Amino acid sequence: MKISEEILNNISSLSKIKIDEKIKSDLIKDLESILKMVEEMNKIDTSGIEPMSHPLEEADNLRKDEATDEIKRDEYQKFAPQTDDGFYLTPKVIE
Amino acid sequence: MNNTWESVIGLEVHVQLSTESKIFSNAPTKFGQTQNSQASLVDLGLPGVLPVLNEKTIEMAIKFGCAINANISSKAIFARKNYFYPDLPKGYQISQLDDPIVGKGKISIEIDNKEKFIGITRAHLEEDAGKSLHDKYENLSAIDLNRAGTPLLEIVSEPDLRSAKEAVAYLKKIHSIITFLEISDGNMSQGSMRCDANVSIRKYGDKEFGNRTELKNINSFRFIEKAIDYEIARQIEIVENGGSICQETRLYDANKNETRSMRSKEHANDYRYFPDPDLIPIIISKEKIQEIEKSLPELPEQKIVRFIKDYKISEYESKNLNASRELSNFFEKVAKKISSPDLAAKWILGDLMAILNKNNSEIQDSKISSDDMINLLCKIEEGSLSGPGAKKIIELCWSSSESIDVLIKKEGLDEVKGEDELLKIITRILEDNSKQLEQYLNGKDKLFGFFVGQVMKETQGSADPKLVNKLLSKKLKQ
Repeated sequence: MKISEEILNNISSLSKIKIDEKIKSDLIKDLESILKMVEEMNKIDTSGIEPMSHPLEEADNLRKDEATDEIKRDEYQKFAPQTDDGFYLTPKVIE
Repeated sequence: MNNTWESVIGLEVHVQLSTESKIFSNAPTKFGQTQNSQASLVDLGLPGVLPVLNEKTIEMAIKFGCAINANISSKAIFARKNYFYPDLPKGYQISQLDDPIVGKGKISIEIDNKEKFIGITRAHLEEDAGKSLHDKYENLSAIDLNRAGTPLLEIVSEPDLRSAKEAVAYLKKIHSIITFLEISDGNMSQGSMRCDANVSIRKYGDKEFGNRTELKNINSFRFIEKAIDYEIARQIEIVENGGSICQETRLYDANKNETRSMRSKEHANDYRYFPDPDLIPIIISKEKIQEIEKSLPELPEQKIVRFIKDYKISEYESKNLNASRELSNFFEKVAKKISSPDLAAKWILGDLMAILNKNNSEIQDSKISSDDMINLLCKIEEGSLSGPGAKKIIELCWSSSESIDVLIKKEGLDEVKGEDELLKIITRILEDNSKQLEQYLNGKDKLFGFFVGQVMKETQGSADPKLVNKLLSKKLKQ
């Protein structure tokens, strides 16, 4: 599959990763080679095999419904670039 | 409306499950707390944290599945739905794509006294996002992540609904199922149940669906009907004028009663779902499902039938009393304590509902408790309080902190007048209104009501109207 610059720009905007103009052509080559590998893998006959979503299965991986976490808001908010009055602040985003 | 066009509607209902803690963290889920006081490190999406699934959410989802006779998946897989928005700190929402916990099922609704089945495509578990406030700061958005990680059950219907009315009936049915199952409080004003509607139109007889629009986040039964009706009319007008419907997301504005396009995105949504490697697939055993199925509480349909049988009330009354679990429980508490339960049905659906509606309140916020109602109805049954008197007390009780008994005394309603005393009052009223009496005796029968009114006024509603009628007709015949 060919990756056009349009597809690349779409991936860039979806993943919110800025791509430098200078590396675009190299990146397209890389992505195309990855897709080629996937195409190779697609040739393998997997009919009758259940898709695996995780290598591990059936562990006791549930927790009881208990609100035991102590919320240390002030401490957590030290990580944030900007807070006020208990809110996290971000540049204005309206969808 | 229009006979050419058929509307096709499918609903996505988000139900907040009433757990103590979040779906993937041990943070509390209380509503209305100080901003970010319910958001743990997991909810904040900090690097290095791991989600661990709350077992209760699985049980609640299975309960719902059993209640609608749906297929329950033997395996539940969580997936990441990727998009960027500040109230979703991880950059993805943990949701389900393949193997949703609840598969195909159906729900019956009643439309114009006819039963209709609405297909359920699926119901899956996911986490709620936080809230963004855009008008608090000039150039900034304020983020409150208390809601982030609250467990949601998203119930997706087939496009089987054909009118806004059907959509409302379906939504009410979902509401009653989730509240009777006690898996959600169903409080729409607090966002515990929210609804997106997919709406399209086509010519009657067409097999193909038209392009659909998605109406976002509608949070009341009234608004869903208005929003869908508006949208159907909008689409018909466009198509009849030669236009075509653009597939988009639209926001319903309750103040203006219109839907409008949300800023259209350059690209179609592409959520790039993939299985979340942080969460191991959940295996659900047949035994577990059977165990939950056995412990299901009584559902509205069963209660409707039982109430008619046990309490000798009408089907209409039983249906209305089972509109919500709280109302149903309220009625049953009262009905058990008085000798004629149909009286409870009449008063609860009549005067109590009237005052609740007037004050925009639900039964759970009623200022008249079930004990108050038992007290009032017992007094009516033993004849120590008249109907109009009880009516008055219900109204007074709503805005007073005093007990029913104190209010009855204060209003003098405990002195129900005996026959002798009533007769005296009647005699006096007939004397005082000799003109009307003369007209009545000359055939103006309507004035009978006037005299009854005068007596009730004189006794401030404490007299038994039936007795007044009886005594008055006797007196007038003399």
